[in-house]
Amino acid sequence: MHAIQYAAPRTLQDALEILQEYGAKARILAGGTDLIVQAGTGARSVDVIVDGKRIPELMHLAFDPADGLTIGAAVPCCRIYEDPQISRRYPGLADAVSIIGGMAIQGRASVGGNLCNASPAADSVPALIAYRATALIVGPKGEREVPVERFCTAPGRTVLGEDELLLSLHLPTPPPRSGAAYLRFIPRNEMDIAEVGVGVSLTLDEQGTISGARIALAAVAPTPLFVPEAGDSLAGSAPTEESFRRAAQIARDASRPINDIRGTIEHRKHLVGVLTRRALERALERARQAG
Amino acid sequence: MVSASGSTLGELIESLDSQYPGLKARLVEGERLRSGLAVFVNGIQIPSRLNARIAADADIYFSPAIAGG
Amino acid sequence: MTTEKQYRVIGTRPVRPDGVDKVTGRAVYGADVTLPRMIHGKILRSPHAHARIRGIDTREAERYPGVLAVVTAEDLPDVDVVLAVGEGGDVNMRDASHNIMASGKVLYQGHAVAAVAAVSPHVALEALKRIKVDYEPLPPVLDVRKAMAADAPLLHEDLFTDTMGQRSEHPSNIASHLIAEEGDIEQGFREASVVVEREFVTHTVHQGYIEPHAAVAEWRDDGQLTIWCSTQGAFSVREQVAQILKHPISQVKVVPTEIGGGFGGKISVYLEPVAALLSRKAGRPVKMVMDRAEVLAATGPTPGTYMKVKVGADAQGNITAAHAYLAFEAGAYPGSPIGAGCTTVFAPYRLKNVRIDGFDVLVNKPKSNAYRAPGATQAEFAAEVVMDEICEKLGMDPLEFRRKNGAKEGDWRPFGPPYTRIGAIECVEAAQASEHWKTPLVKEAGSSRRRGRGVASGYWMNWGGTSSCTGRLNPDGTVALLEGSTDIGGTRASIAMQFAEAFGIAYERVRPQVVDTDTVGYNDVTGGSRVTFGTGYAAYALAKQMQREIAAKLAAIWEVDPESVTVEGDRYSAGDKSVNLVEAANLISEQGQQVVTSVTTTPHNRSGAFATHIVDVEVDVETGKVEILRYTAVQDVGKAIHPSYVEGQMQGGVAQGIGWALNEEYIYDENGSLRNASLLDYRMPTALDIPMIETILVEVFNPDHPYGVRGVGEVPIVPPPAAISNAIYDAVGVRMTTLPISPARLCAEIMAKNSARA
Ligand SMILES: Cc1cc2nc3c(=O)[nH]c(=O)nc-3n(C[C@H](O)[C@H](O)[C@H](O)COP(=O)(O)OP(=O)(O)OC[C@H]3O[C@@H](n4cnc5c(N)ncnc54)[C@H](O)[C@@H]3O)c2cc1C
Repeated sequence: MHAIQYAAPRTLQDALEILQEYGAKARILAGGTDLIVQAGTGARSVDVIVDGKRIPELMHLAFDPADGLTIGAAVPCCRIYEDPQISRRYPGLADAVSIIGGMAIQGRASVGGNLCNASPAADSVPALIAYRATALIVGPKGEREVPVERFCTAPGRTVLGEDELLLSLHLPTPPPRSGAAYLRFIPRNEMDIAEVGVGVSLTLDEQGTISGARIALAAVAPTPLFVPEAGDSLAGSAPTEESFRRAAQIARDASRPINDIRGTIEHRKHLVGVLTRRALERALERARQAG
Repeated sequence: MVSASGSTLGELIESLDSQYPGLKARLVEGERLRSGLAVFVNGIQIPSRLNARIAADADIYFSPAIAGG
Repeated sequence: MTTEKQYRVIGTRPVRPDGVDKVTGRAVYGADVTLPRMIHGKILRSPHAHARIRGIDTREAERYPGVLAVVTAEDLPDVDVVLAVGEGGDVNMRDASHNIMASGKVLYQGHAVAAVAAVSPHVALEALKRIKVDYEPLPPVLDVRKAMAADAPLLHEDLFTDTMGQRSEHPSNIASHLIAEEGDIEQGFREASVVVEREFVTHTVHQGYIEPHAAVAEWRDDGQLTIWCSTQGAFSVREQVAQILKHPISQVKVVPTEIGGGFGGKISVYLEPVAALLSRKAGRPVKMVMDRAEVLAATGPTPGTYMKVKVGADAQGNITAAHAYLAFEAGAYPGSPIGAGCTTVFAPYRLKNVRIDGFDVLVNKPKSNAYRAPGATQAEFAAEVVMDEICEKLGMDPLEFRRKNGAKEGDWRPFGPPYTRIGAIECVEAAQASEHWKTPLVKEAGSSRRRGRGVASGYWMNWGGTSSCTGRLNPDGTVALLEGSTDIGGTRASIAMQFAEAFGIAYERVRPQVVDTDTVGYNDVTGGSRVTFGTGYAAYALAKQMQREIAAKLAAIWEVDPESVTVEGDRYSAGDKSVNLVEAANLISEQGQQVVTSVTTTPHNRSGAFATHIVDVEVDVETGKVEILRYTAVQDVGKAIHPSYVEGQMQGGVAQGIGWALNEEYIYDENGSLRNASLLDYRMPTALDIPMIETILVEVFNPDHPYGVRGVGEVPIVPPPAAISNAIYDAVGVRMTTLPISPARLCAEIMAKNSARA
């Protein structure tokens, strides 16, 4: 019979030592809302579960206007959207973390776990990309930083080495006159995995022209998909229906969805267009409110 | 709607079969009414037995037995 | 209408007897049963949708530490071909045996091929991996139309088509072809000024009961077999197990547990005979519990269909002819609810010229089973969408059309005698008078949202069935009421209320319990909307019988003529003697006597239940997503014994109908593997997907029941898909004829319409 060991290290060092000893057979546990399910169905084979929730750095959540936002890898979603300052500064992230699963899931599920699980449909990842988030990774050789859009390499795979773990995510402070939004399409009103998700951010200059924008997509490629050319097409343009439609078309063309039980290629591509435009409209509204 | 005579269901089917040859084969299997067949007498379903007694002037319906959920 | 009687108990809303146990977690469900020395069974299931089994090697599993028994189809006796009319379709017990353990061939992905009992569920699962099955894969048939083709691969080489008692020349996947005909449809279509004909496709849908199947079996050395399980019918389990195992029925006792939903899916046995066999081999009690994937892949969903409906009407809006072609997927063995589909398809209407063709067709999917008004939702979806289009073409109000053409007492219906007193038209009239219908709907809702309103009617027949009850008068004047009908929807309350009403005591003084098959007389299954009607009828008869027995016993004590004892509420009097029930109980017990009474009744129930629903939807025209804004369900309930539970049945049926309409479907790949065997991707509605459902109870007395009860549980699932499709048409102008109307399907239709216009 297959028995699983459970470890709850209290320091980063202890955690790294366990990873070094067991390699690929060990997995970090944050909220467990992916890991436990996958271990239960046999989708992921695990011998040692290393609980990250006793390690202070992984549970750290702090915002500072100078440094931006730091999210420890095991911080549950609810702590993010329940923090008024964070949800006001990062409404696009709040959009995403408040729709992951339901209330019970959000009490456990972490943004770090959402990213490390490397599902193409992960809801928080396009929002992180839109906010230029970076991932801080630690391993026996020290720390390294990777932009979130380069973190996932294939479904279920990331740049993490067997002996490394994700320590935290860092989101710079959004510039003035900027706004962001995450929109997801699901057939029901909750408890579904995204058929398509779109995270956007945009910044206006003092004249109200778009100075920069970022657009990232969920569930339309093997990994969360950053589409720089879609955001770039907006730089220097006025925020009009026409410029938004053009960016949406670029995003749509960049998407490479498949047919599966959650959606068809046609519907997904179509939704990328619709959701990109709608997310841009919402981000614009927020940018104008931010002043 | 057809008329037939008989004091039991079996006799009734014999009489129907003489008017419409082959009908009996569709209603009866060996010595019994085919399974999955329902019989209504004056609007009320009766046990599907060939020796069931039938009153004169009764309205009889044969139908596939339909069940609920 | 009959004059309204004054009731003391009926029509009130007391607390249900099982409520506290359920909300506090004390209620015992199937998986909660635990016995000393109990071990655990698991089933090995086929990965193929269609394959011949060349051999099964269980030796390694048998040797695996902790394994106590392994069984395959070889351990099952050869069962006679007994055709039992089951819920939703006929059950051939030989097929039922092969369905619970594949013999020779596997016919769907998930078909059981072997089972293991071991000291823990984990050990059993590990042992399953060590069973080697040698399969020869065969091409699967997954679509009903393809399965009907002459050159389709055959599921059963020995199956022939039965066309109203006549056997086909060649074997076929079509098990039967039913025909119902009245008048002359050719003539009727010639008289029509508008004719609409459309094709419809619906997909396999599961009942979605929350409690997975669970059973515990204990086979003793003396042959006594006891089974604890979650079922809609303990007596039916006893019969099925006895037949499948060829074990004397007197040696099988079934103890029903609380049930977490069934909707028709917990009538057939799946685990019970297997657990019994494992227990016999292991000499220990065996528990088996399915997981969700097994429930979805390997129990009995309701079939997918292909349907074609054609209706004609004259310029005044009278239906002149109607034709339905209904092909239902039976799954791996014959017995889809095609008969019920044929019976219900046009049921709300008075028809002079009509033909209905129904086909029961085998495909490589699990053997379909009953699901709430089995077959009616699919069939009436097709008919009611066509009726809506007829109304559109005639420029006629859809409720006015339904009132004008509504079926009444004496009208023809397929496969049965003419209608008795029914409330089809009364429901339409109540819908016309409703707040909802009278409130106009604003169609525009922002740049990308459109709103629409739709209506549809539905019918489901009622069944009486056999029920038994035992009553015991306690010394404190309360009554222990023993029932054998599984309580799924609050029937302990509704039956106790009828008993209390008839017996002249307060509801709180009746203690209803559902007991095992050795403790109460025979009861048919909880199904066919029959329990509040049929077991309520038995409870009424029991109350009257107990009153007679009490009167007779008092008469003997008082030395008076039994006829002279009168009963008024709970008071029994004769001349100057008068006692209440408590005093009577004590007088009788002083004589060393007790009042313990049993009755069995099989009432006729010639009635049926009709419903008319109104729905407002909002469509996001850019994504194809549909929001249900407002929903009103109108239903003829005969007499609402406990109005809250009647409303609950209506709301629950509508919720399931909304799921069926919008998102629920089995998604198979081309090899016949079910891709969405989880409740994440088999999308039943969540609380956020359904608005508060308004209910309007119409009470047209059912003459076959002392209180006028009609079965209410099933018909509310019937109208929603058609009503929603009609509302979507009203909103965006596309006719959705495939279920579910998922966002992807609706979006594609809207885009096709837009590009056709451009
Ligand atoms: C009912 C339900 C609904 C859901 N709905 C959604 C939804 O709407 N949207 C959505 O995006 N997801 C959804 N999910 C998936 C899941 O909840 C999310 O992906 C969640 O964010 C995962 O976080 P977690 O903390 O639970 O991760 P865990 O399960 O603990 O971990 C996930 C993976 O990441 C690895 N990992 C975790 N932390 C680290 C680390 N610090 N370093 C290295 N590896 C690490 C784990 O080993 C594991 O492989 C749902 C899940 C369930 C059960």
